[in-house]
Amino acid sequence: MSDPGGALAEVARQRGAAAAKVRLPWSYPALFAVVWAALLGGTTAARDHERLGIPLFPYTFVAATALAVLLVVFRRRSGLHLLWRSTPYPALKRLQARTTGVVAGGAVVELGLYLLGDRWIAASWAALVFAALHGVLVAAQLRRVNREIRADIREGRPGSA
Amino acid sequence: MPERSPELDPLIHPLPRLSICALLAAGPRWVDFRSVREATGLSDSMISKHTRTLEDAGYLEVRKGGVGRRPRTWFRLTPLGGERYRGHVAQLQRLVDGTSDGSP
Repeated sequence: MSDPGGALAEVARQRGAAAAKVRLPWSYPALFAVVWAALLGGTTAARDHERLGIPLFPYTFVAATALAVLLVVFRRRSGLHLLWRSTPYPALKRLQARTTGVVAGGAVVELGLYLLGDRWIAASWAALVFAALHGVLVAAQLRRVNREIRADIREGRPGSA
Repeated sequence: MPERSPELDPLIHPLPRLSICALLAAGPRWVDFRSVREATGLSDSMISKHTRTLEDAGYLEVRKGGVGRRPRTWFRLTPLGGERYRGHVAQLQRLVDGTSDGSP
């Protein structure tokens, strides 16, 4: 193979294939949002289910299990190790502070509402609503990180070669 | 006849091996056999042949294991392989840009 242009086109094609492999189907962030909301609001829902008039259910346990299943399914479907022993994509570092802020900030707010819910039922409702909104926010951040990882791969940025 | 460029790696230069290296370099560290087959369009025997060559040269690492009852094989580029691949692609880019006379 002696055509440098053709060789580079093949490199671009493989980068595109790798990027397509890590693309999340629309259902994944949607499921992630639901699972995350259940994980975050699960403790409040479990404690206050009688006061809130919602069924008793092991929300946190089921959500944690579903989250693990989502991660494993993605790993198997993509055929790629993305979440551990991952390539240090620049996007991960670039968005690390924002991602940490979104996750940790949400957890702190949820914890505060959970503690207040012990005194005020409105805080428990707020905890459930916030958990749902935070699920959407985390899913949006997941999509954004995924989109930028794919851009890193397509562009062959350092770390993703 | 132009002199062969020292930066174009003869081990990576054949298209099947360039395809494999490009995929492994672009993907997360370990990429499974099926993903390589789907992306490159190579047959199983061709993948085995070319990955063996790259492995023997120290460019590629192979890990065998299983998912459930199914045996699986994963590949990744070694640091040496990654370095040689990046050098190869950089040289290809220079050739396309017309800033190098090197020719394989």
